Amino acid sequence: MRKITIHPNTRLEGHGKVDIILDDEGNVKDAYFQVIEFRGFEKFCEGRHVEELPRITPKICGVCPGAHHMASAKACDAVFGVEIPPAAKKLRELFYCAHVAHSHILHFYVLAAPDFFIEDKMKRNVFGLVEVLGKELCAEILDCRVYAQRIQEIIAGHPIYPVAALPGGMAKPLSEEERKEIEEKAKKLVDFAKKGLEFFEDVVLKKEGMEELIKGDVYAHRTYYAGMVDEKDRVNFYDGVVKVVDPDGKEFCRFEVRDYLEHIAEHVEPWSYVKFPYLKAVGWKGFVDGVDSGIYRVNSLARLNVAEGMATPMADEAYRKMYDFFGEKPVHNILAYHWARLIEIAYAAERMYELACDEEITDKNVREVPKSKPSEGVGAVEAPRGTLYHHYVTNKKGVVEKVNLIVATVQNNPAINMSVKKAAQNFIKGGEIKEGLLNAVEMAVRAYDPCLACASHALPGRLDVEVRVIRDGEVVSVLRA
Amino acid sequence: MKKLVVGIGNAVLGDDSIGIRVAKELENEFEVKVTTPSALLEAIAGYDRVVIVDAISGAGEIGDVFEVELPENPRFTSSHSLGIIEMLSLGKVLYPEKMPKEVRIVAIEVGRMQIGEGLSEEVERALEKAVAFVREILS
Repeated sequence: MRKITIHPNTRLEGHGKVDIILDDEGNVKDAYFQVIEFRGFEKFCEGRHVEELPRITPKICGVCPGAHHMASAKACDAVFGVEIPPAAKKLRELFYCAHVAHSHILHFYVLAAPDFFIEDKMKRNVFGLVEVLGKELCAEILDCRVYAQRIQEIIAGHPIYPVAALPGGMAKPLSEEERKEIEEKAKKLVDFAKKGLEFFEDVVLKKEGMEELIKGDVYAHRTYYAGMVDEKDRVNFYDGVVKVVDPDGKEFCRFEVRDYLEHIAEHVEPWSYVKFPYLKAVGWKGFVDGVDSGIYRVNSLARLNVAEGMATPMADEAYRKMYDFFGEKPVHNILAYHWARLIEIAYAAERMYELACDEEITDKNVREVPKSKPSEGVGAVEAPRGTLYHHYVTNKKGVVEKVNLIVATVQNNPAINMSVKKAAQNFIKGGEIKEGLLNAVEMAVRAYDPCLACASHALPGRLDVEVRVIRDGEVVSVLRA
Repeated sequence: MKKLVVGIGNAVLGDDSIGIRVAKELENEFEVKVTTPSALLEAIAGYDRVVIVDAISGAGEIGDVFEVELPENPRFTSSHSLGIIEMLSLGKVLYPEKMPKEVRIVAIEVGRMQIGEGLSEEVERALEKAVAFVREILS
């Protein structure tokens, strides 16, 4: 058998491509961020029985299968016009908080944190993190991620690819033994979340130059924000209405998820497979921020910006601390997405613990079998990366005729392009490319935690950003990590 | 001795499903798990001998079957994601006592990576060879 050695720095193709176009003076004129889209998945779903979609759509992506499972199950409930029993709703929310916690832990500690406090760029990775934080803490980070994954497995049957949510509820109730295991793990996650917040406040924010960077203008855009809130305007990952605020923080509108097409439209650019969603009522004005541009953002910071607080005590205290630190709301600097993620880990952990201690969580009645004829339905959740919409139209037999999915990364796509351009402008002047361009562009992209994995996975399985600088139609520089 | 086959891949992304297909073919002979790289460490912890099967791209002709060796001293320069190699290296650093004594990686060069079920002809033909190779390693 032929043996090959893969070095981690082996590159096949950059999955996220950034093209930076220079003008005649050698300054940044435009920047384009391109991702590979999950083209074809909507078509793949058509012609199938709608109740299969909660098990098929999680295959879109290995990063956020739990989000697709839940949005799909909720869309199916709507297709059949069925109200799910209270215990089923609580089980789904518990599962879903575990999903968000797991995703955020991975993103913050493994992918984003090294940018914040590792000076040596060659060590700016998870192994550098082990050197800085020590083996014990790093093992705890991975353990807590595993706890969150285990909670998903207990409720939904598999740690990665959930199967338990069905139209009308859940396939199985929670046993007392399982509940106890979840309670114990959720408690550990609450303690871990507290440490994470302290770490950010005491270590990351105190680092020299960090306050300036995180409050500064380099990574800031004055856009609209959208996210789901509960009846008291607090962040909710599983259910609620979508609230939109303008760049000054004033409520612009709020809508039921089934009405999303009345509020969101999609702009198309010839250079990108991915569309550019914007607020219909404001309109598409190009890649510009401000109150007259319909560009809006989703994901952690956006959720906090539209809300009035968090529904659990530790997370709510951290929420207020964050806005006190900035002295304004909404916060526009994209580096605050990371802080917001830690606040959301705290909320997810506290909410998991609450739900695990809820008497009703082990109720045996977890499914209302749908009785009415299927037709059309929309379901949405706050995926770790932002609002995720699933919209299905079926025939009378429940066979899917049309599917529309709006994923979070696509909604942030216009803003990612703006952030990349702004980061590039600081590092390219008069045709001179300063050192640090690649990392600055990567930081701009990474803040949004874009899911570039939707379409492609094969060894070596990396999500690279490749930056090309183009002048007079010629590629003058190609940068990769 | 506890043995395990781990299939990695996306079941509905054409040839990317080859790792899962190989694992499924062996499920009557060995313990089998299907997972993603991010959940790899907990999947293999506690086993003695593990074979991970995944798709590979850019290593040879479509349908070629390889054994992938881990570099002795890997250099990590990116923090975008964690793949199989990073996870295994991280496992060695953080949980040496839980890691299997032997982990081997088998990879099949893929061609058609588009949404849909089924493999391309070349990769379908490679299935048997890959299954036989995994069986040989674990026997």
